[in-house]
Amino acid sequence: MTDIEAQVTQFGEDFRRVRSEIAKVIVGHADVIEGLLICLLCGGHALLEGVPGLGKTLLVKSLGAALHLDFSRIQFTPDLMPADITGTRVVSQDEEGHRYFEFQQGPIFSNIVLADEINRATPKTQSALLEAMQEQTVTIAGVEYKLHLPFLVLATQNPLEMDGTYPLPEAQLDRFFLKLQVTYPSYEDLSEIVDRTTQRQERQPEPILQAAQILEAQQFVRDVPIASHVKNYAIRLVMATHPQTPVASEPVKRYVRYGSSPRGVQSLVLAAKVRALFQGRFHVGFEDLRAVAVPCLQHRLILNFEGEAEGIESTTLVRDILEHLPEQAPR
Amino acid sequence: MTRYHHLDRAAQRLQQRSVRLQRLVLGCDVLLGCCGAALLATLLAALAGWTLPSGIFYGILGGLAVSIFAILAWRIQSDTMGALARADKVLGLHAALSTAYEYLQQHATHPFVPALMTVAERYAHRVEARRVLPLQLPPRVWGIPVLIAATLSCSFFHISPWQFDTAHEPEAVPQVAREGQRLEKWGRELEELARREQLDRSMILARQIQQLGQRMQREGGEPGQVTERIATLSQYLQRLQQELRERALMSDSSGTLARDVRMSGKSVKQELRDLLQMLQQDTPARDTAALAEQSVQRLSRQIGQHPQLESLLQSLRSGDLDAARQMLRDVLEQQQATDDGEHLDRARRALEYSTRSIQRHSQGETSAGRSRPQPDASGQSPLEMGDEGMSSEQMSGMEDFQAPGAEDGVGSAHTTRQQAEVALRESEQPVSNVEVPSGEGPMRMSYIRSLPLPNEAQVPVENTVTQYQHAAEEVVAQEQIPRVYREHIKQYFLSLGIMK
Repeated sequence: MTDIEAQVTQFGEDFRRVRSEIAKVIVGHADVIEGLLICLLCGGHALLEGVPGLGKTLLVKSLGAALHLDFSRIQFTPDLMPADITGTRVVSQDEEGHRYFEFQQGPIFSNIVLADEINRATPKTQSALLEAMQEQTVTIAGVEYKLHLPFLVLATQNPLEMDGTYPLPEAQLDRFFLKLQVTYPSYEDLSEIVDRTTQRQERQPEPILQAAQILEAQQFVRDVPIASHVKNYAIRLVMATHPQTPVASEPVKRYVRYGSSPRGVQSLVLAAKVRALFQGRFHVGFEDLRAVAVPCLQHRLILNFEGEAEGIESTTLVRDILEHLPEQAPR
Repeated sequence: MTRYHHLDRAAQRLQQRSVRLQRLVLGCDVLLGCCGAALLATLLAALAGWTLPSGIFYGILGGLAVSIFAILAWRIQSDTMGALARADKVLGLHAALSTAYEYLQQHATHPFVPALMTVAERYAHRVEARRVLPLQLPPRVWGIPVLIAATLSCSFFHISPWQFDTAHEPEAVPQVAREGQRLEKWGRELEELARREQLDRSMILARQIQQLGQRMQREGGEPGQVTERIATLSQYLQRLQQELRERALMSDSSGTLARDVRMSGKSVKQELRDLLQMLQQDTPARDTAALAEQSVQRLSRQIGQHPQLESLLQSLRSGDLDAARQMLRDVLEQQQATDDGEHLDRARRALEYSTRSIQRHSQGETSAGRSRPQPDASGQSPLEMGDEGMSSEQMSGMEDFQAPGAEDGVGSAHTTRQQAEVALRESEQPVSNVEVPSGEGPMRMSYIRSLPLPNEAQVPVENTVTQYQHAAEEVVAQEQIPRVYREHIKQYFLSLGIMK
């Protein structure tokens, strides 16, 4: 067995264990857990969308617990200020009685940050978080502070109760690596949830990976090979979301105003690399791209007036592209 | 490379198979084209009545096809990556072979290459070229036996050469006879007029037109031949006209007198003839000379100052009767030539009309000509019809025939009445007999303009709704409006039904 084979095997084994630890607490949601791990390994951030009570917060907490990482939660409210997230300078006094400004870190200085109901805060506050997500630094009073790595923001938003909310603009949505839909559990999953949560002793996940291991895995992921024709397929997938391109399908031409940004193809290829490793393969295949296409691209499509009025879902459009786009480019 | 011989050999096998299949398809396409060309050439040769030496012809065609195939087959390039990608797909290998091959060729030092190759080697020995690239010929290949069968059928069955005129032959003869009748009639009328006016050349030509008409009735013939005969006669006519023109150039043509001016019920020419007759006597009486002088003066008053009449008057006053006679003869000759030229011009137009009529009929475009009134059917003699303002295109049976200096009165009122009658006849035709395809056409939008009612919108809704819709779309896109109200706004504009 070569070194790489051993590393890939180890990689797969580690994350299988992480998943099994999370599964001690969270019932179902295998796709969401995989998506979160993909985000973690790619250095991206995830936006979770789902109605209240589906265990989004618990899921994120469990992830933090399984990974030996700091975890903080920010409940976004309309009166939340940027300083409440990033931290602020406060006046302190030393032993000699001299007063000085001291930076007090905000909740963003954690490895995993849960931004709960991000759409309830004002755009100004949202921007503070999104800047930190992009740069992985925070600047307070001209001083730049580096955030703890690995840094993963998991934002949630409630698709219902939209009154008085500030939905994220498209430019900020684009900064989320994946958008994951947290769906209602099935009958069997509900039964399991009832059994687990109504017993005297609740199970807790054991920490499996350290921050350094995760950072190493992040670098390892980027080495995964991808053949040129597979990469071309990823590019054509993203091109097909643009209504003005020749590969665009008829629904895209009709309902989409703007297609995915280049971040879309970056996230598509990186996420496919992680998925290939999860599958125990040393290279990216077409099915890896297809598996991650919906969470990578759905929030990057901007529908036009007609699309929104007719209630078209961007996931439907991405699935339509996947169905009709051939793997090999026509000659 | 030797460590990974399974992948290498699989790639070679797939590459060879791919090239072989591409060449096979190319060969079929070239053969298809060759068969098509052979069929086309055989058909053309049969229809045109050519006799091709089939051995040489098919030999050349075959050689050409082989050359084309050789050139194109040589240019076919192997697509190893494509073949490996196809193998991945057919065997469900998740792009393992193609990725391994590409990284081995281009990124041999990549840390993942050994692991990739281990997996690829495991799969590569399972690759069967025939399974990955099965023989699948395009459906158009079935055209080859069909084309060969069609070519052989054309060779075995005799196909008579194409006869272009056979379709029109039965109709051409009656049309030629009808045109012959018309030409004979016009020739007779022309001869009568020429005799009356003593126009020798016109008379000769009129007789020849009559003879041609009689011949056309008697012999019929193909439209092409008849047209040629008419053209020959037209050439003769043009030579006559050319001679007249040359003569007119040699004499002073400015001396031509107006022929339509009336002199006590006589034409100018008649007046001049009477004058010449009066002066023919060697010793005319004194009162005759005076009468002649009065006649010339009256003529000058009627037609205005004319240099030849002035000279004639001076000769009469000076008693030089020889000079006066000579002058009168010259003037009459010029008048004669002018009239002759006009007669010939009418004859030329008659011949042109007949030629066009025959040609039109032979091309199957006689429907418009048939709808026009025939000369006999119009109930009027061609001699009574004016020609002013009528082109030869408008002639329907030489209605524009009119003798120069005709005695029964020339006047624009008569011509105008005639044109009015023609126009009236035309106006009584159906409005249109043009057939147009019916069905969906471009949408017609009509705007009804009316005064706006008080307190109502001054601008039509069509002109403003698009503008407002765009504005609403921008505001909605900027997320300034709660989602619930956004839906109401979208539904409102959708309900207007003026979406882009």
